[in-house]
Amino acid sequence: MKLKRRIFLKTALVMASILTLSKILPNDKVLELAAEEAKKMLQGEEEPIHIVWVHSQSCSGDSVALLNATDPSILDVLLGQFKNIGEVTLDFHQTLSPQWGVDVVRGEKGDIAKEWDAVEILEKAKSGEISPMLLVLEGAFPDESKAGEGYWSSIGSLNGEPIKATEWLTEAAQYAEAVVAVGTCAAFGGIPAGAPNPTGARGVYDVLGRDFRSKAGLPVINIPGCPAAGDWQTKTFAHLLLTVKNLLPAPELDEYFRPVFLYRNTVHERCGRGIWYSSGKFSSEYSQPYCMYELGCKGPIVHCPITAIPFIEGVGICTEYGSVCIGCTDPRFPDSPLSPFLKALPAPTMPIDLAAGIAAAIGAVLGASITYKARKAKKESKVEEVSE
Amino acid sequence: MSIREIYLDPITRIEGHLGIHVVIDTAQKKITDAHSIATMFRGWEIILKNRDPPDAVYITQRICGVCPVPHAYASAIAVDMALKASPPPLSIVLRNLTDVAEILYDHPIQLFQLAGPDFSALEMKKFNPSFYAAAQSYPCKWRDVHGYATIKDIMDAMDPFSGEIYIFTLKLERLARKMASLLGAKHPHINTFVPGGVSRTFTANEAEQLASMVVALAGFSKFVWTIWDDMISFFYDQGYNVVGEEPVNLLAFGSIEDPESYDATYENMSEWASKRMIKPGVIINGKLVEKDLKKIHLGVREFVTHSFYNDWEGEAEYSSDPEGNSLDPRHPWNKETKPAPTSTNFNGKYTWSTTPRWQKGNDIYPMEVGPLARMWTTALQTVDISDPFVSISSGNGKITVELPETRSDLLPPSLWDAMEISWSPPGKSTTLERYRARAFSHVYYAASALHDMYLMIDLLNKGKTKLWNKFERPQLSFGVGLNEAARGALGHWIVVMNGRIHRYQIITPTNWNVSPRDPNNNPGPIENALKDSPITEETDPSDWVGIDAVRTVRSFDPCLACTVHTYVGGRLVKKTTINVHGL
Repeated sequence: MKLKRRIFLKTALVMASILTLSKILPNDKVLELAAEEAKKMLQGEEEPIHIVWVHSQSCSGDSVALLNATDPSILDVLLGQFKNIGEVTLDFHQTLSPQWGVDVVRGEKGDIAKEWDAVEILEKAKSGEISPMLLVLEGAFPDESKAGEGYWSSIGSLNGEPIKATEWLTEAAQYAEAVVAVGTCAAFGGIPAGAPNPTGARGVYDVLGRDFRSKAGLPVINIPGCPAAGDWQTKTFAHLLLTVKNLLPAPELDEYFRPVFLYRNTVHERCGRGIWYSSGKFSSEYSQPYCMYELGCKGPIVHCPITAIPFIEGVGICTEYGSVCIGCTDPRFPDSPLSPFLKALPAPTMPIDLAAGIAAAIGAVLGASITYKARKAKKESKVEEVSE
Repeated sequence: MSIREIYLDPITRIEGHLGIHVVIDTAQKKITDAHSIATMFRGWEIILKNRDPPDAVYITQRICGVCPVPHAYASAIAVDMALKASPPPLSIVLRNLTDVAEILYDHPIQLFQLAGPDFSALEMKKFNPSFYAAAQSYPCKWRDVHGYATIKDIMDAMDPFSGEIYIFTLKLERLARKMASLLGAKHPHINTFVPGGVSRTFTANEAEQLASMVVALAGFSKFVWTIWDDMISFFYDQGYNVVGEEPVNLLAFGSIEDPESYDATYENMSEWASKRMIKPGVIINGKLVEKDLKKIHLGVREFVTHSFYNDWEGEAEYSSDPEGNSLDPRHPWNKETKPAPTSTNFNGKYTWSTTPRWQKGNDIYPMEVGPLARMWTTALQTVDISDPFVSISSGNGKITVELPETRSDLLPPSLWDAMEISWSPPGKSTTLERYRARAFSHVYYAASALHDMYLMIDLLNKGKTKLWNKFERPQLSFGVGLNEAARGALGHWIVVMNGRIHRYQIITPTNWNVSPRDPNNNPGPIENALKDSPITEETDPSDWVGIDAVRTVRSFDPCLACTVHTYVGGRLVKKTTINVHGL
């Protein structure tokens, strides 16, 4: 068999990537996978993975953040830096797709118009004709039963009628290899679900159910953040693409279905101002360079990757730059105890005018008390989750 | 007469959910009727009610992930005013630079990633092949700057995902967001604006990093301007300037505060707002009729005749503003919105967007907002800046910007030379002129960034390094924050009662532009621009996809998440336990 140059290169890349994986997976499994993948490629059998990205009650912030990603960038993904694991196509994205909706309700609809119609893509995704599909959701999903004769969130028009986002999601999700909720709204409901939640907004895992499993056997994967930084997104996508290809085990998830490799630590645990906290030095005015606990920082109770993976190419870390953590990755955002954002967590007040040594001792005690509180809060929310 | 009726829904490559219903006469090749339909609702302001006023600065910007900073800035101005805070000058410079950084990404993403594909080879070959053929031999005036010999070369390079211009501009847009992140701790959605100033800790080190970003972005604006100026000249020559015309009724709130004049008081608002780099103004039938921002603000009205809301008629709480000027029941300080979703009916209710109008005498006017409006109002007022970094002059219907040398390793050397760029109001509001004004707006903002860099260095040298002043939480107070988002005039209104948010109102730029018919049955600007607009598609009518309509819609750079954010519910302040810790 004669290898075409492109296929040859691809095979070489697959081999290379699998060799690096051999550090993670047992050796015979790696060789088996390598042989299988190489065979598929040589026979031209590999099917591209289709990304379908739908916005419901969103602000598009996660899409903009996606364009911030550099490690890898979204163009790296789409233009083929990942060809070694197969092609990836972006079949639909509200903010980037060339096509738009062309719902002809009077007059003929020719082939060019049909081909250009974005709604045709949404309809195919909903009926399982796009496969394998990585379904990405942005924004919260409302309770349409509260909208009477109308609707809260429509993603297009079919025969002159709105396509309700929540209904579309329920149908499309069953055909997805993996379902990813990007941003706090899609993950947990976010601000649209903030008290008193006028539209009954929910996160994807509450629409589909927390026992939902995708075709690849995965629950909904949450990448919360308001928005989730681009690199957090592309790192998760890259991992999932490998999982869908059977090249990597599924990412480990925490109790809120967030990848542990990103959300393991609290902001406080890796905060560059942590040293001021432990030595008891606190900012009493905004723009001062010390720990902002007194000014309302919620870093001690919020799990977020930002201190480890900053927002854009190493630039942008909330607490180190002087912004209190407002807890935007947290399931409780934007409600209590994260808000009021500029008021301190209800815990012992720090006497900042004490001598440094005494303050340090108190800081240490305070640290312990907050950690305990955080643990307790977490435990309580876990109980809630089970009782649901 | 043969009629086609199409719902262009979803309109992709804009922010959010918009459908456009068009009726097309295929014999005359024109659109005979259009309705603009905002198709998503979240309920932002009921969520804001009763919260701590400073939280509004964080929450309201999350209405929109494309244009969060202008929201944060407008909110900060409104909350500064309501909480009686007066930010120090350096904090205003930092707010300005964060705001400008965002526009410096927002305009190019609209021009190259959102609208750009409609002018790319991909779509030109499909829908306007004769234009594409003509482009092959059409030389570019600005070839020495941007490097493309013919319009065809530009169209090829604008192809989505793979074109050279598409990829190059994405990187420079990322740089602008990186600049916003450097100041705002992250972007989209910045976290460093607080009432009374900024919470950013700021040192000379950051100033240097900023300067290199600003220089690269100023050089990039030469690229943005020359590409679009050449493209628009070409489309003019194809007779395209008849597409998307609507009356010259324009409104701008102005933007980019003067750090020494801004004091956040309502009392002095007319004065400090007149010192803005971008000038407030209202233009009716081509004439500047108002430039006092306080009067512009008092003329704002909102209607819900064709929107999925019930009216708040008879529930207005305030008959005058804090100075005793008469306040209309339809002014945002009086508005309560009551969502009432129902089936779509073009004679009844058909959109989640409300209908803002501007009142002069007994008349209410639909107003177009955006770069065309704000550059037009600025060109008719005086700006005279000449500092070591940049020169900007404006007045008598012409703006001239002298951009300096911009040596940056992120740019090709053809963008390094100093360059003078001028713009004058075009006399008409058309699809093409909206794009050209957007490209010039990018230049103007880049020049403003250079000027603000100078102001920053000047303040640092004078030792004026304070970044925050205290605020209070009054029993009853009012705030208004008016600013420009990339896509036009943006207003935030707040009423604080018992130290909490009693009412929060937002009218976004896209509210003005995508608004439906008003009580007098006058269409909103996008609906009006589409009506009677010609179709240039060269395919069989059965294959028309409405490319001229979407080019027109996108020329307004709509942002739907912004538009439909609205508020509901009870007017009583709920009793809640107040956390005694913190401030």
